[in-house]
Amino acid sequence: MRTLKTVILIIMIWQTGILSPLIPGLTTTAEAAERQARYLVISDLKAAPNPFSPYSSYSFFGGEEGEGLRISFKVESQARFVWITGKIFNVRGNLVRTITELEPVYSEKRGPDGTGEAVEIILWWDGMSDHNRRAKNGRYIFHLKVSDSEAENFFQEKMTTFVMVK
Amino acid sequence: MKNIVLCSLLLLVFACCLQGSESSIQAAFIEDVIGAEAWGMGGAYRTAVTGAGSLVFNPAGLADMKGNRSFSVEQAELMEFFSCSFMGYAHRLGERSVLGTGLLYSGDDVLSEFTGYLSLGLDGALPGNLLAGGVIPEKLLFFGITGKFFYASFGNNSADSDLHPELLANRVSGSASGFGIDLGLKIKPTSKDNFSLVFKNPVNYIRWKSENSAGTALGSYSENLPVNWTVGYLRKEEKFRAAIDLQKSLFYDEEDNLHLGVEYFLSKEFTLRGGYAQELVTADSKRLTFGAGFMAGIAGLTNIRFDLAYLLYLEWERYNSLFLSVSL
Repeated sequence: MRTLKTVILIIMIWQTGILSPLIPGLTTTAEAAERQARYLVISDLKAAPNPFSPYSSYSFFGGEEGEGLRISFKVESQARFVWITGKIFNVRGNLVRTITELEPVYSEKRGPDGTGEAVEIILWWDGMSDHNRRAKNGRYIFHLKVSDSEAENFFQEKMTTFVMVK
Repeated sequence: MKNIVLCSLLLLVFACCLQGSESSIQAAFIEDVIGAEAWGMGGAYRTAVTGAGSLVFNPAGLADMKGNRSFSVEQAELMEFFSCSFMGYAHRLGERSVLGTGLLYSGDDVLSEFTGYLSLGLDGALPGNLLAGGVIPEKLLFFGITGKFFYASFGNNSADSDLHPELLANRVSGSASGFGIDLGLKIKPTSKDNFSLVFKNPVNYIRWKSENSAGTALGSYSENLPVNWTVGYLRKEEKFRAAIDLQKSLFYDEEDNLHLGVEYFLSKEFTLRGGYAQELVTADSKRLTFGAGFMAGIAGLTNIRFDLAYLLYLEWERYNSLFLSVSL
């Protein structure tokens, strides 16, 4: 009986939303319903080539140019604009490079059924750290956060790992 | 003692000279991503560790081991992407010396990494007798040294079928091998207050061999692991232990990391743990950890311990890590 009371108390505290800022991913039933009402999807997140050399450079047909790692993904959103933040970390979670932070990207407005084509976004990482030093060989994590510009604190995130070897 | 400090300083200066213009943020052969007991306490574990886990966290903890042998198997699932496995064994050679060996594996087809360990832990009374004429009492100072052997293989994954031919031509494959050492010190001035100091990779050498059909891979070259050192403190009370580790970087592009942990003994069998870690100055890379341990006796001969830990990355909403371990 005492355990049951404790569980009920924890659920009640959780539902007030007090714990949400402390523990990411913990959302109340009301917050979850509000999020489901919005429409924001990230798909086809790819990092290539994998493993990659930072000394590789590309000039594709169609004018696309870049160096090192090509990161591509698609975004579908109800909002007219989304904010893109892409960061590279090592597997300990230490930040190595901020590729882009809160960059506004136009994403055509869509209905909740998601009909129409998603916007494809491409980022490049040249293998340099935020301190402009060549990153070391090894495994890295790319963390992508796409935020809805029309709904406060509504975002989606995706991650992928890749390997850099010179 | 003066000789040890002098040698340590020389090793650090030598290691700093090797870093050159490259970033000092480690990305290969990262070892402290395993350990259910360690991550239950937020990674503040360099002082608390004893037994086989000392191979990874602090070789000086070997000599502080209770009993004559310790065996540990660890598994970690990191952010749904890849896993790490560790198996270690420590054996008491004499009253004041313990030998340990182990193997750590992490990765997948894109990058598979193996680290082999051979460690020696000594009660300070043994080297103390040699260096300082026997003035260091037993169970006060513990020293440890670990020799590590690294091997990695990369680019064994199959490429996406729709990958652009130019990207495909720049995909790198090859291998890496090398060695390194860790040095550890543990001090127990009182039964309640313990301190530790650990140098990771003050000497190391890794040779990489890479190739790709586009010719943009460097071929055969050496790239060393960055050096870091950690100071730790552990406070022991009857019902709980509290620990703090400060992982200091030697180079300006790597942040210092702070680890805090508490372990509460519910009973002789059950333990609860909690911890927190973050980058010290920037307050980035915030991690919250929870853990538990359960110990049981096997036919009155030995104890078996199960530990688990869960790590939440506060800035990454959906990607967390799970750690499990079984120790004898």
